[in-house]
Amino acid sequence: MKMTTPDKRIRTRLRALKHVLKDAKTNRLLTKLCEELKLNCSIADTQETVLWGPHINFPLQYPLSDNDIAYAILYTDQEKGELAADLINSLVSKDIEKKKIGNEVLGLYREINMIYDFSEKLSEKIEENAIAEMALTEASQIIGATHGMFLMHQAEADEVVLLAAFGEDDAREKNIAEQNHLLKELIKRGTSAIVDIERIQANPALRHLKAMMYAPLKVKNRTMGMVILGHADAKEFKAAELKLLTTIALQSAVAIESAQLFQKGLKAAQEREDAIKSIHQVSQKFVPTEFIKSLGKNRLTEVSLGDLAEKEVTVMFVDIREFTSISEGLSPKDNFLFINSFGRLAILFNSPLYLLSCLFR
Amino acid sequence: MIVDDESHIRMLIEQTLEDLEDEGVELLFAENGEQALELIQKEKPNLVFLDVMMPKMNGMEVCYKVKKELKLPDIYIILLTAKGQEVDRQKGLEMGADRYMTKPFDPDEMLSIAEEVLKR
Repeated sequence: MKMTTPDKRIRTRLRALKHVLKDAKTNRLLTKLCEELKLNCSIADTQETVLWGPHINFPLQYPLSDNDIAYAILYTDQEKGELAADLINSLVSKDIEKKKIGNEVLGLYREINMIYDFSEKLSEKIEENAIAEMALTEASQIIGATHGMFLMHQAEADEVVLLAAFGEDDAREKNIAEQNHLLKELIKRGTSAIVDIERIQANPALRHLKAMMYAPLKVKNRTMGMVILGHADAKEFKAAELKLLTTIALQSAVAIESAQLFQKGLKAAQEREDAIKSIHQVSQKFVPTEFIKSLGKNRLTEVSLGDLAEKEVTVMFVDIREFTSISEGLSPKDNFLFINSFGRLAILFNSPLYLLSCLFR
Repeated sequence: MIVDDESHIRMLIEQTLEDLEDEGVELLFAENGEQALELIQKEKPNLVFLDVMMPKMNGMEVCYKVKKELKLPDIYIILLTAKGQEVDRQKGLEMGADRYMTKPFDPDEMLSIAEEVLKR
C-alpha cells in the first residue's frame, strides 16, 4: 500500500506511539506481557507498516485509539491481546498529554522571548515617539491587530494626545478630539479590558472595528496614557492577548518615564551650565581673566588663598596730576567714568587693570 | 541530540524539533556532560545541541573531547549559552564548536538551523 500523509491528529498520535515503543522499559514490559500471557502480537500503523513485533498475520485486531481517533492496530493471536492494546493506549495517551504540556510551555517560551526582545529594543530608545511607535509595532506583530493607538494624557493641558498610530482611519484625530473626555476617564481608571462588541458598535468612532482592547500606561500609581488595539475583522481578543498587551504597555510606560526623566535631567544640566556661565561672566568684571591666568589658573574658583606667581613684568605707573582737586569738581558718576577711561588706556598698554587701582590710593 | 541539565529546556527543544521526527530524525537526550559524551560515542549523532553550563563536565569540555580527542569532526555541535555570556563565544569556537546559539533561543531559528544541518 502506498504511503499517504495521514492527518495531523493521527500523525501526532502515531508519533507518540513511536516514542512509547522506542522506550526500552516499555519494550521490556510488552515483551514480558506477551510471554506471560503466552500470546503473539504486533503493532502496525493504519497503512499496515509494522512498528513493533514480527508481522501482522494474526487473526485478531484491536484498534489503538485516543479520543476516538484510531492511529494504529494491534494484531494478535489471542483475545488476551486486548490487554496489551489497553496498556499501549494508556501509555500513548500519557505521552500525548506530556506533548500538549510541552507545546504550551513552548508557547509561553516564545512569549517570554518576544517580551525579552522588546525590552532590549526599548532600552535603546530615549525618545517618547520612538517608544510609542515601537510598542505598537511589537503589539501588532505579537498579538495581531489592524488598528492601534498610543495615547498620552498631558497633565499641563489636561488633554489626551496621540503619540503614534497604525491602521486606516481618516477620522482618528477628529475622534480623539471629540472623545477626549471619555479617553481621559478611561486613562484615569487605569485598567485594561477587552471591549464588548455591543459597546464597539454603539460608538460611531469605532465603526470600522469588530474587536478592541486597551491597556493602561502605568508607572507606580500614575497612569500616563493608554494603548489601544483594534481589529477590523471578526476576531475576539483573548485574555492571554490582553495580558500581553498589558505587559507591553507597562514596559513602554517605564521606558517613557525614563525618557522623560532623561529629558528633564538634560534640561536641568543645561540650565546649570547657563547659570555657571553667567556667574563666570559677572566675576570677570571684578577679577579679569588675565589676572587669573597670570596665576596659572583658568577660573576664579580654582584660585585659593595664598596662590602666587613670580614673573618678570614691565609696570607702567601713571599718576594724574591734581587728581584730588579734579575729583572734587566732578559728580560721582563723572568721577567714575573718568577713572574707568584710564582702565581702557591700561588695556591699550596691555597692562593688568589692577595696577591702575594702585594709582588712586 | 539534545544535551541540557534542565529538563524544561530539553522538553522545549524536543517540542521545537518534533516535526523533524516525521522525517525520520531520531531525537536523543542527555542531561549532563558525561552522559552526553558516552551517548555521542555510541550513537554518533549528526547534530548536537549542547548546553555549556552543566554539572559533571561542561559543554565546552564535551565539545573539546568530541572534536579534538575523539576526532569526530563530522558531528555538528551547536553550543547553547545563556544571554550575557557571549564572551564565551570565542572560547567555544576554539573548542571546536561549529556554531553558537544564545538562550533564550528562538524556536523558529533553531528548527531552521537543524533542518539546514541535517540536510547536508
